[in-house]
Amino acid sequence: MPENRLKVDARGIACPGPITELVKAYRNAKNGDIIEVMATDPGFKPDVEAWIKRTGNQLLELREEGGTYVAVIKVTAKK
Amino acid sequence: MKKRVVVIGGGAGGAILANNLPLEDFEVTVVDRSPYHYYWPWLLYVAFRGSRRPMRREIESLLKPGINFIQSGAQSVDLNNRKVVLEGGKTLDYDYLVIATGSRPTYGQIGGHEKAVEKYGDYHSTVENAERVWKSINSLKQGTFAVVVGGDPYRCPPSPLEGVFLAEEFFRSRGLRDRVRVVFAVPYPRPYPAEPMNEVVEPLLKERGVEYITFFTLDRIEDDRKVAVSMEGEELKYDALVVIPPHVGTDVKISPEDVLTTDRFIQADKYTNNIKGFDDAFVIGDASAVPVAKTGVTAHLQAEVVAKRLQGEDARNSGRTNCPFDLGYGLGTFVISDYRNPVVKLPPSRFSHMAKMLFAATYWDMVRYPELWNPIFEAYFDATEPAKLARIYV
Amino acid sequence: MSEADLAVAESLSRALRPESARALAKFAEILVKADEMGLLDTLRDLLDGEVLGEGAKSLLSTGTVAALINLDRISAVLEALARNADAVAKAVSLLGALDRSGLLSLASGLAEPEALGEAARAYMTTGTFYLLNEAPKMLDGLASMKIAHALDSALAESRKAQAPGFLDALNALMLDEDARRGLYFFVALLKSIGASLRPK
Repeated sequence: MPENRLKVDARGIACPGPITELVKAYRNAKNGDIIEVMATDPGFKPDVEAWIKRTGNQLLELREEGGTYVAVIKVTAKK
Repeated sequence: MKKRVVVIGGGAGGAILANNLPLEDFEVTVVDRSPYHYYWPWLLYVAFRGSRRPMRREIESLLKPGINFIQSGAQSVDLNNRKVVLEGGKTLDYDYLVIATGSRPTYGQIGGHEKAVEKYGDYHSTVENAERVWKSINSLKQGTFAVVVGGDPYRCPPSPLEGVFLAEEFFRSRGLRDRVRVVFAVPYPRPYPAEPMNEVVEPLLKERGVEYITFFTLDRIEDDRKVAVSMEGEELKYDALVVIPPHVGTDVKISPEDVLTTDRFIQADKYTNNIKGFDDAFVIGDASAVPVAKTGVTAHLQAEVVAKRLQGEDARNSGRTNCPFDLGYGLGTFVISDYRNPVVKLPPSRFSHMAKMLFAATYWDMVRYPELWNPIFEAYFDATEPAKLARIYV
Repeated sequence: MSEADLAVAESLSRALRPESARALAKFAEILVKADEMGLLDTLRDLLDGEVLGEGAKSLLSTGTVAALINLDRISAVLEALARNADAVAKAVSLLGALDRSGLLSLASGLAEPEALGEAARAYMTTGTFYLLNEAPKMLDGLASMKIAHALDSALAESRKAQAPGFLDALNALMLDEDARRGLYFFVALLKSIGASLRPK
């Protein structure tokens, strides 16, 4: 099966928060897919890190450029 | 010549928009499949208080005289040729189009979801399902009552926790609190996804002995074993469970199709609500994909902005939210934020709860009489700007 | 028509002299205007039992008020009015007085969306919102400050001592830290009120 790349733009979301957009993309993804999330909420970075740690998916990249956080995640933990 | 405005959807966004347009300059037609306009937030009280208060009114009774109402679903929208085809086959031409079709729960993403709703009910779909929740909590005398956030997005970000708080209050008031566990499971790192509001509500959950499970992305419900299973295989045992259903966008066929996201929300400019690539078509409220909470206040504010833009004013959305949040025991708070400011840490108060109830009571009048209410709301929104409140509630 | 109804009708006709009739007409005009604006619908919706009960529950902790609210309010009030024909007559003549004083015209002027909007802008400020949010807590705090106790001890002190001279009282006040804090709070408050009154 080909690997999908899902792009999620969560910039500007304060409530309920960008983490909800990541969760939405994760629901529709399958193992091997790549999710790329962009967010401006400063709480996003620790949230992504905690989410990776608990769910066991893979964080390929987490960078900040000009006030925007970009997280690149590989889905690996689905049973 | 009057400009022809077609509004698809007679809910909060559509009705408020229509009522805000001067009929000397616009010929306004509202179409909706249902003859009724629902005040959806009241499902919470049907489900957890057994409320029988009517929560719908006829759309026609909420529209100003002179606005046309057609009770019919819209089948398709052709943005390039400015045409709306209704279910009966009738075609409406427009100068301006506003799509306000809202969002609806979907039951196909989580295994066993439909069966669970038939059995235990939920409070994001219909009055019947909310009444089922009331039956479920009344027949649970011991064991675990679980509320699980099934996926994003859903209407009203505070609603999952509101259900949890009201359920906890319900079991305590029945003297069953030592025999009924109340458990809340979310896919987020914390009970409320936005951190500042979580700092307000998490202590309340602890104080009231509500257990919560974070990072729980619901995969399926196995009701024969009475367990909810996460995508990583974690299991949650329950005796009765209410799932917050993930929602999807419009079921109207729209061309060009690339204005839709995969879950059928319509992409638009977050400041003007213009549908991507069209200056004569707008989407407001839950139906849009703009990054703001799915709630009535958003629909209301966007409706006012679009009504002003149609009249030639350069109005813009601030992304303001103002979601009333019932915390049980007569307490409440509001989730207040905008595009530029994070959520305000507004502490629980009895005033906020009362404001929520007063709002519920006068909701219909706010829809029907914008001349009276717009200036009052303006004053309220101005006084409660997140930037101003953030200086008080640090 | 029952005897009570007859009594009402009688005292009403007594009350409805030409001048009060004119006032009533003006009042009716206000009502019509208020209705067009949606004020009457709003009032009716606010009087919904469930909502009132909820609102009261969150603001009042005494069962008495809650019980009162659970009475079938409107019809009970109307019934009470009907039973008390004199009061109705009085209310009607009051309308006459209101008209003479110009208050009815004022009310009629107030029943305008613009006027209400102005009022909302004047009163709905960030400070008001803060105060409304915190008021229940403040009131709880005040209640728990044992005001009665403070009064008792003041009474005991005043009995014990001879009438204090002004300087003695001032001395006692300035030496007590709590009293000083309270005093400075009032001074600060007065200062800010004074500043807002300064001619521009």
